[in-house]
Amino acid sequence: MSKSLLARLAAPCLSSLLALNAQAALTEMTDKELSDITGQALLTLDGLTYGGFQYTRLNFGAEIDVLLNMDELRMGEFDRSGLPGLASNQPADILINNFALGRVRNNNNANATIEPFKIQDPYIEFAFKVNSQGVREIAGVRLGFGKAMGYLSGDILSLTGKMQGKIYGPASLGKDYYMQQNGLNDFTCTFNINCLALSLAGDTEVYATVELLQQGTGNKILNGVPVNRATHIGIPAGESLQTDATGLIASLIPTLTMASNCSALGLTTCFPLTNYKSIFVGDPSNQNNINLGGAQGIFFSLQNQNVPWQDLANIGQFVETQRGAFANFAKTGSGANTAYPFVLTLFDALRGTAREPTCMGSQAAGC
Amino acid sequence: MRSSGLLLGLPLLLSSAWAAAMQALDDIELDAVNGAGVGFFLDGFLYDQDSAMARIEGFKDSSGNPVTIQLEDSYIKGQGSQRGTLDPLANIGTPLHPFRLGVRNASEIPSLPAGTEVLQLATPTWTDPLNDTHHYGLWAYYQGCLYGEAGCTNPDLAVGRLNSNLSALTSRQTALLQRYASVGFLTLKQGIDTDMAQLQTRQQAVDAATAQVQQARSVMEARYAAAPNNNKPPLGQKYDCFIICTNSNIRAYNDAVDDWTAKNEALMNAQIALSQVWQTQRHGYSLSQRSQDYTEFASLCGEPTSQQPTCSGGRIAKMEGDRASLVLVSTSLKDGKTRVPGIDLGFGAEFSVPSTAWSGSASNATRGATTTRADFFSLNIEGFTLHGSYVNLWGNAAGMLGELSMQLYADKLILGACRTCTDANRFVAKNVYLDLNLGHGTLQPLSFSMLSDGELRFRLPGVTWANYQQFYAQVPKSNISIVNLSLSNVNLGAQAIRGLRVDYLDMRTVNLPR
Repeated sequence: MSKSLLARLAAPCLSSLLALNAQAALTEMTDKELSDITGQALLTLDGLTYGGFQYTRLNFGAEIDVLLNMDELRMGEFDRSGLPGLASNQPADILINNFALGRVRNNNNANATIEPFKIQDPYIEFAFKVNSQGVREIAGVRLGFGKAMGYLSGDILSLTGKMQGKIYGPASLGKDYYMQQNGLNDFTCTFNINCLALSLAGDTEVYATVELLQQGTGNKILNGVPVNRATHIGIPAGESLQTDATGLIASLIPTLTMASNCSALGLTTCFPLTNYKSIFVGDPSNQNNINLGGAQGIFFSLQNQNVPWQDLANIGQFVETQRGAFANFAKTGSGANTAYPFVLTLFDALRGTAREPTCMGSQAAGC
Repeated sequence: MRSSGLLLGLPLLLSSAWAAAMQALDDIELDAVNGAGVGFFLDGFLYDQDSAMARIEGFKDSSGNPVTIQLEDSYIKGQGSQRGTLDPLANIGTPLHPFRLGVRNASEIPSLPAGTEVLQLATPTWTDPLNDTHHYGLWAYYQGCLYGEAGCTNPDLAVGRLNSNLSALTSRQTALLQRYASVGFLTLKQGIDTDMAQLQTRQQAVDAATAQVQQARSVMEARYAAAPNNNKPPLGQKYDCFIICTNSNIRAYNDAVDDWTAKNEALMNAQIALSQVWQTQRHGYSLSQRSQDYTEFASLCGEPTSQQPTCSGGRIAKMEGDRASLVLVSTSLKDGKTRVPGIDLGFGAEFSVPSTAWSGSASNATRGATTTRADFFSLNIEGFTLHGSYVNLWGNAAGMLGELSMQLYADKLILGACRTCTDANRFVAKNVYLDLNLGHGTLQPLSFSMLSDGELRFRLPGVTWANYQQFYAQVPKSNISIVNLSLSNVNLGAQAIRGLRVDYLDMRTVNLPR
């Protein structure tokens, strides 16, 4: 080997060492400082048992900022004929085109900047179960995040799992939408019972939890199990808009807005998942701090039966799943402390949300 | 522990008795060789841990309790070893297709910045379609089953499946072209850009209104804390003072509630105004619809450059290119050609892990005692190849930089949790293809560094306004696919990530527990 070759081989190594020295500014730790550090590691391994299952979770300590684009995410593509809960003829449990994490602000001019999706402490977990012959089998595997925050985009063609968001806004938004959809004006509105009811509700703030459901019926349970391969989301049949306001009209809102067959007060309450091109995962009022605003408990899993995965956002709770692929974007907490993985204004829920650009240049997606 | 038949070849320096294709270089030929690096291969070897044991310590659980891992039965053998029970010899590279370690420069690797020299480690490369992992991995994904198994002997299944997918995409392309036939895609784009400018203005108004709501809420919370506790209403509701409030703290709080309510109303109005832009109508379609349609078309066919564009890029062109690869592979298989055997490898492990027992309902479970559990876990990979992979490393003032392409294919990947059982009790993935590309020498060099607190940092610089066209054209995408996954004899079908590109990454490791 020639000297020049050796020199060239050594160059990258030396330059990296020099760069590391310059950047690191390492200083010796004192004995006291050293003695204060115990049991810390990049990786930890946790075990638990529940409901006849054994679990082993490998936690990875990391802070990740990322912008990614994907042509297609496809999980659980198998024949579901004869299995309960099938809500559509989609070929896979999870099927998302142009999937993206993060967004690009001012995408089509020189001020374009990346706003990354933030992930904290991802983990991978296996579930095991001893079968009736006494053989210990692998029952499931999941990939999850300690916390996550940012824009998630895609053309969601099929989704199985839990996706619970909050929609909120003044009832007057519903009235505006209703009038527009039914060709009414302020005068003719007074002769339409639904429109009149929405008018009386005025600016009363209303909200509802939206969930995956079956198109047409609004059912979130089919054949005794949660729907799978859902193509729609909305207010499930039998549920309604809620309000914290008091007074006669406010007290009537839950009854007036009871959803049935994807309709309440003449308003559509089931929406194609493809209408929601982008959702903000986490608390939008704390967008700069994942520790405060990050959504917890998000995971993607594959299992051969109903594996109850530990809910890392709610101590003492387990998330029921079903055979196949499963995505968990469930709300956490309860009452005033409820935190939703995504929040939409009523206006956006009624009309859908456009895609946040995830590419630079004029192409919003598919780069 | 035993090993067998190890032969390490350094083709430039040694002559191997086995390697008939190798010939001595004469002085002139030797003189022409400069910085060509080292090629090596492992020929006819196996590794078998047999009954020896190895132990790994130092892992902990989240509470700091120790976790012990005992490794057993690890092996590396030739393909067909039946999970290491037989002893076919393995080959990693050959004299004609060795691993290569050497210095390369920008004239040889187009992705590198001019004048850059890198240290490259490359796995054996093959040009025939069956051993080129790009071709074979792609074909295996579309084939949908492990070739040679019952029901999977027709190599043309892959082409048929691709044609079906392509047909669905071209139908969408046709529908979008027809929708805007009288408008033209350049005109469509102009209208979108005009409306988007208004959208950005209103988005800024929403951002400003959001900040005002947050500020008003902070004031309200502070005044709420200072207000008296007697008959105190919930936060956000006013004290009932009838005609006049005599307490100044109550008045201040009530005023803050009014201000917060007004700011909320302003925010709602700003959101409504923003949402209304999405409903702006042109050519009979809302901005939301037009934007979605344009984006979908660009995704299918590439960015339109004329009023009636054809498919010059995008997923349709990519898929048509993929079809050529599938035909090459299926033709080779029909001609009776075979792949170079890969290797089999695997291990078993017993984990001694602290485990906490939970019981009760799923919505209100109770935590029980923590005891130590002994878990068995095994991994086996059959027919594993890494053909066509490489990593390039170099350094500059930013530290160590790199770009890598990993082309991993395996017929089967099996995870087990039982010592005495069959694949009916295991996680069995077939046709596993990992086409992982990270970094691009010029546009997105992957950097590795160590932070002052000892943590590691990995960065992929983000796409920029200055380079985005080159970036999207040149930075390679990644693909991950499993054609069939069976979990303890329950079929969960195919899993795939197609066309993944990381446009920006900043990852820092963190010590656990936090």
